[in-house]
Amino acid sequence: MKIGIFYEAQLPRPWTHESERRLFADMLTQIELADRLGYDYAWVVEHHFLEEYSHMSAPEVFLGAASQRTQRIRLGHGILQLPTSHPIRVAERAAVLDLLSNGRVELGLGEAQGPIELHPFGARVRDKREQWEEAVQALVPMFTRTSVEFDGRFWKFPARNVVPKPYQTPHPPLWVACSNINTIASAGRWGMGALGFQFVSPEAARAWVNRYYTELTRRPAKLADYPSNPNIAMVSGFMCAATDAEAREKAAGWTFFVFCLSHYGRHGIPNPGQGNMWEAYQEWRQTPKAQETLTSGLIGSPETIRRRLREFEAAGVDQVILLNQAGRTTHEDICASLESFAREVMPEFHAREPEHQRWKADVLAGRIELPELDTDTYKVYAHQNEDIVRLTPDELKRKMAEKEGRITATSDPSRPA
Amino acid sequence: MTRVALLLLGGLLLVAPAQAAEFRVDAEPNGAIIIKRPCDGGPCSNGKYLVQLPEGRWLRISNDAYVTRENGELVLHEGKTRTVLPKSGLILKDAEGRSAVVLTEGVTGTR
Repeated sequence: MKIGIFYEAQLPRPWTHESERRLFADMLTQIELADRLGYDYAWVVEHHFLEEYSHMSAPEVFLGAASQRTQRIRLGHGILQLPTSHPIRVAERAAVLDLLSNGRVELGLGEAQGPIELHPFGARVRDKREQWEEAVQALVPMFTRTSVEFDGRFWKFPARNVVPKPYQTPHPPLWVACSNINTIASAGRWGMGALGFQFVSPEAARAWVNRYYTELTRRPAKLADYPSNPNIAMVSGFMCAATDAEAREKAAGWTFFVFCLSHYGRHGIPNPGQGNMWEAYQEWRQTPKAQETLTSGLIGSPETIRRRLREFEAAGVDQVILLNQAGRTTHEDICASLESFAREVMPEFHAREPEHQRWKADVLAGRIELPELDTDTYKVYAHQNEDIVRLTPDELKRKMAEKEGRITATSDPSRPA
Repeated sequence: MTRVALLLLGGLLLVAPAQAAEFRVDAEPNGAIIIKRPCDGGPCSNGKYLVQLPEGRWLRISNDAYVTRENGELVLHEGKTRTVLPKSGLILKDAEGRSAVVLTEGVTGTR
């Protein structure tokens, strides 16, 4: 199993003039440490306007800096938002980062979180899946072709040679964000790596891993001409300490992450710059749900984490991505946790990686046929609430159209409210 | 589907094997062909243009066949048969404006 680390760039209020500078400096130090300790991937999100939850709005700049302070670790966009960036700019930035890092880029692609992020860029929630698919079709040829023109619904441009080209050939491996668990099946069909969250149980992990590889091998439907990237990775809350109790105490940041994710999804940002997520979080963090959240991650002593990780490894998960930097978890605790895990847990999982790769090669070649297990039972990740609303792209479009219709009806003085 | 296969087999291009060879499509002016194989080297990789076919525009394959884009999907029309082509399909143009629809995966079925 490969091991990654994950960065949202969380920064709870209150802030000082130094806060953001210190945050970015610390994260770079942590990635440098992870590189030395043998971690395989450093993943960085792209989010806009999500105060306190994520201050990583320019991940390519951050990873550019990381590329100059590391030697071996893979540098992952987890993910870049396609609806909020022109595909040409995405291709250019990914290629430059790949060159600067001597070919260490992993290119995750996603749709953005919702209206908070999409609307200022002129993108709409109802269009984001179609826009994302079209952007993938526009983007991929730019990495290899010397002339690309495009005339789609969302993107139109005349023939150009997009330079530079990436160092990796034909281009960095492609991944897709699977914040909605059902997207894992699509990721398989698209032949992209799946970036999801921790499954509720080893059984759920096995069902979704089997589903992913089944879709990939039996129902392929790529969006463009690119090599498959057969990988399924899961992001987990993480803290490794001497005892389970100490780890839970230090991992309060994970509950802040879960709280913010849910809060922004439900409430948006009514007053930009005026909110205080950290204050709002204080009441919630004492609830049973918050305490339960602490059990959903890889949080505990080395022995506890080792035991949980073996179960996901046995289910066929290719990579676990450790979310360490969250809430007010300190730089010192993050570094100590990375060191403890690397020393006491990671080696045995790295040692079994060749065995896993042989299993995967057999699956991809059809020498092992995975049973299609029921994934309908597992419709949420471990950190998600059962009652959250998850809509398909078509359902989302219908809902938004209905909502817009209601707004139009109530704001038109010539029509009854 | 049989007619599709015949078209695909019949729509053979191509040119000299050298890597740097000019990409040329063996079709009438402004015409198009369909190639069903990976575009993984040779002149195919040197295609001068890679295009996204605009919605509603069409590429003429033969007297009774053409490819168009409908609701974002590439669709092959042969007589009264309508076949949705894979989204991974590429359209390459040569310098004379002739097009090749390159399919690297199987067609997704007839609708």
